[in-house]
Amino acid sequence: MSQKAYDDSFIAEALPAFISEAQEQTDALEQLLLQLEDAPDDRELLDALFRCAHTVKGSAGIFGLDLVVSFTHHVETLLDLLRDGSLGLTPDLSTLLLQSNDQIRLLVAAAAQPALHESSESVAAALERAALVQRLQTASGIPPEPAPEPASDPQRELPDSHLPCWHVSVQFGADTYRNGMDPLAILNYVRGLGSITHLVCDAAAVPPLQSLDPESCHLSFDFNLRSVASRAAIESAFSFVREDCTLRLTEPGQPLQDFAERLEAIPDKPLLGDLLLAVGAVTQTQLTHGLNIQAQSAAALGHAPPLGEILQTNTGLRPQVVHAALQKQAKHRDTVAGGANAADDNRFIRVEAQRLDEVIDLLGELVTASAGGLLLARQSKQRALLEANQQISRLISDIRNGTLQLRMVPIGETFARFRRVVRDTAAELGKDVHLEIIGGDTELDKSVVEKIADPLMHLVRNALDHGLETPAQRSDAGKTEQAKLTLSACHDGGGILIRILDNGRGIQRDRVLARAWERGLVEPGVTPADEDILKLIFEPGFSTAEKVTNLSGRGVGMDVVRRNIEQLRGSIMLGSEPGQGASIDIRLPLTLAIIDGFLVGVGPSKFIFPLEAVVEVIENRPTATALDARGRSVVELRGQVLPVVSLRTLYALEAQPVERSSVVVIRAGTRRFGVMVDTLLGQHQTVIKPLGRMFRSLRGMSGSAILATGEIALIFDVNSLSQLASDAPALSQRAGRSNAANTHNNTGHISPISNASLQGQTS
Amino acid sequence: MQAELCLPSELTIYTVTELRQQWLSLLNSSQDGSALSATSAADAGDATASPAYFTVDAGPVIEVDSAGVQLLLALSNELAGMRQTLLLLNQSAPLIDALSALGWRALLAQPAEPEALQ
Repeated sequence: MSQKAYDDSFIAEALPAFISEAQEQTDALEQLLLQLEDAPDDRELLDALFRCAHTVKGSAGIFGLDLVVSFTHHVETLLDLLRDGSLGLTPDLSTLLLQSNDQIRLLVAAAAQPALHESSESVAAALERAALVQRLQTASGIPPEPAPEPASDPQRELPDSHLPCWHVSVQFGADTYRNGMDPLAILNYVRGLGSITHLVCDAAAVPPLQSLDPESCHLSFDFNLRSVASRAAIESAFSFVREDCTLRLTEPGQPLQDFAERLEAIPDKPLLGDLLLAVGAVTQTQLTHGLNIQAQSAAALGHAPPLGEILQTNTGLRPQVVHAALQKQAKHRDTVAGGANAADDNRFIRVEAQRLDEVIDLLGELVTASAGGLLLARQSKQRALLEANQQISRLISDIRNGTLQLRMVPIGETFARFRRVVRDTAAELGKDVHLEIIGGDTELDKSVVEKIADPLMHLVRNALDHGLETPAQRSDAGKTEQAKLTLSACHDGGGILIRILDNGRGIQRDRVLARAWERGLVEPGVTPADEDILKLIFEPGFSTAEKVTNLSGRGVGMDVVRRNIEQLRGSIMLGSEPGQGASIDIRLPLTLAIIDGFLVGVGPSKFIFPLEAVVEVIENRPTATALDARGRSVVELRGQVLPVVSLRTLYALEAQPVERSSVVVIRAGTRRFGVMVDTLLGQHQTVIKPLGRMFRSLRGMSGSAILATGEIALIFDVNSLSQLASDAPALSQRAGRSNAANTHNNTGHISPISNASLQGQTS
Repeated sequence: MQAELCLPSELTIYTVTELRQQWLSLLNSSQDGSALSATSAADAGDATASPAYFTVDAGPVIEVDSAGVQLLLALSNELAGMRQTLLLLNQSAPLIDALSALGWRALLAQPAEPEALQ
């Protein structure tokens, strides 16, 4: 017994490592399968595939994950045939293997979380698996076994009488059928766990035909189940109906001594619930339920009844077992002084994202506070104090980088998911698409990666659906039959640039424009610049219906995509060469929490530019022309004309104009422009605070920061600032004012600075 | 002999509502005749004239689920109230499987003297 307990505790400790390894293996399997599609005869790929599957199967065997082993075995068989060359990889086969890999992944995930084990081991899942096994066997040329068991279980061959005899009493809820569940299928599944005897169905519970609601379930059963399956495994059979069925499991055959002994053998588990759970006396669901009751009673009565009592009354748990567990618990409390269990955390620490956020939040405060300290130290002019403070600032900066690094993940994982999406979607649409992934190791903040996945998915689907043509259309157009879709990521300034590039038919500007006229987004007859036409696709009112799909090739829900990206302080830009393809550039900040900023002042107001966006600063440079109504003008920079915008005029700041202002040259995407400010205050590390509700509508700003002096500075979002500075008057809310001002200004200033002219200067 | 009711090929949640209506109207119409005669026959102590068995041709059943079985149970219970016994003739394999799996072998039972029905 103690040997078994030792094994159990070993398994419990090593399981997470297995799970993460198996997850890596399944990911590798998927990637290999996808690669194999391009090179079906690649011997090395085939070997690697087989090894992956074999590794999963082998280590699953060590951990007794029979479901994983038996299923993976079928996959392995098929892979072996492929490796021998006795079978060739067909697209169908590839699909089957990919689906099987998904199945393995599911099984592994189920093993990872015993609590979820129940739902993943549902009847539907088991049936799906059985179907897959059948297909795998057919593919391998093995005659499928008649009616494969939902759970292939070697223990079933043992003589039943030696097995523990459970008594199961289950009453299905009235909505069972309506929820798509069938007690018949569930019972058949239970038969896979062991042998059912003495099954009794309560006939009286079924009303006569006259008063029957035939879609309500009135069935309830009592039966004995001889099985070695754990309580959780048996309960899991009912997981899909668990919500509205009454299930009671009792284990009459189990000697109480057994539980007590197992309790004795459990390593340090301090909580009663955990103890009972670990020996299988209760299931996770029962425990959670019990704990809920406890919490509710505590709220209602002011004191919490002991968990043991609750479990006894609710689950039929024997008092003796509870007693043994309580003793173990008491013993543990005596010895617990020893401290932490060091064995747990070797390789990975799973930390709640929330906690990390809290640390980063605090770190932000620390950055601000230390800047304040440094400022005071400078003012005190005490060298030692100043040095100490500088040292602190340096360390904080290191900690900041280290902490932010914790949140960084390579985007490649997200990209890799698209291989499958592209493959499946392209097959569905009858298109031949090659996906190229570049720069998958580019890292960015986890929260950004998570939030960008959906918009990316949308864009990729759009490109597949509308952008890329069918092989026939492509060869008609004189292009290669196989279309190409490129996903790339790279660092770009202080952010990351994600680009989705396709060589499809591109976006038809005239149709977009026609649509925009029709929808009233642009005055009919007015033709904006090419780039602006493409932007119309992102306008909320551009379209809602499939009409657009046929019309422009793009556009369903693109405004949502844009909004999501802008929420990440990112920007999205479309490019299109008719007939040659389209490109979508998404620029995102690396992190959402802290930035290195460049502090400037206009009168008493302070502003911060992300340092990465600052190209250079020009001090005391007069503008070549007078400012227009929105503060726009140009300066000469090394023989070139640089558009500039004055913050004072743009935001109507009430401050005396200074005689000679400085210009901060900002790069936003591919554009460059200057921002005229009064004073340059230098580099400043700052924590981004969200803007208050009042300022949400303020354009060009992405957040605020509290300076060391306690002042508030607004942080610019350079992309939207550049748009603000360059928007054509017709699209602007200030159109009226701007036009009026144009008539007053008689100098030959460049107005408006159109996107095209900006583009022309930088490209 | 002709069964009084013939089961459809699909006896599942998708068909039970409709079937219940059909069966009820069938029972109502037969109640006027045979059920009454059953009562009178019982009163008269005349066992031979009584259609104590309500025969159902179960041959066509291909698909059956718990809802279907439950409907059969309800029919059986309804018939019991009319002093009749449900008799499944020509039992198809899927139906036998389903009834066995759900602990309703009793419904599969054949009368002691089957020749009486032939």
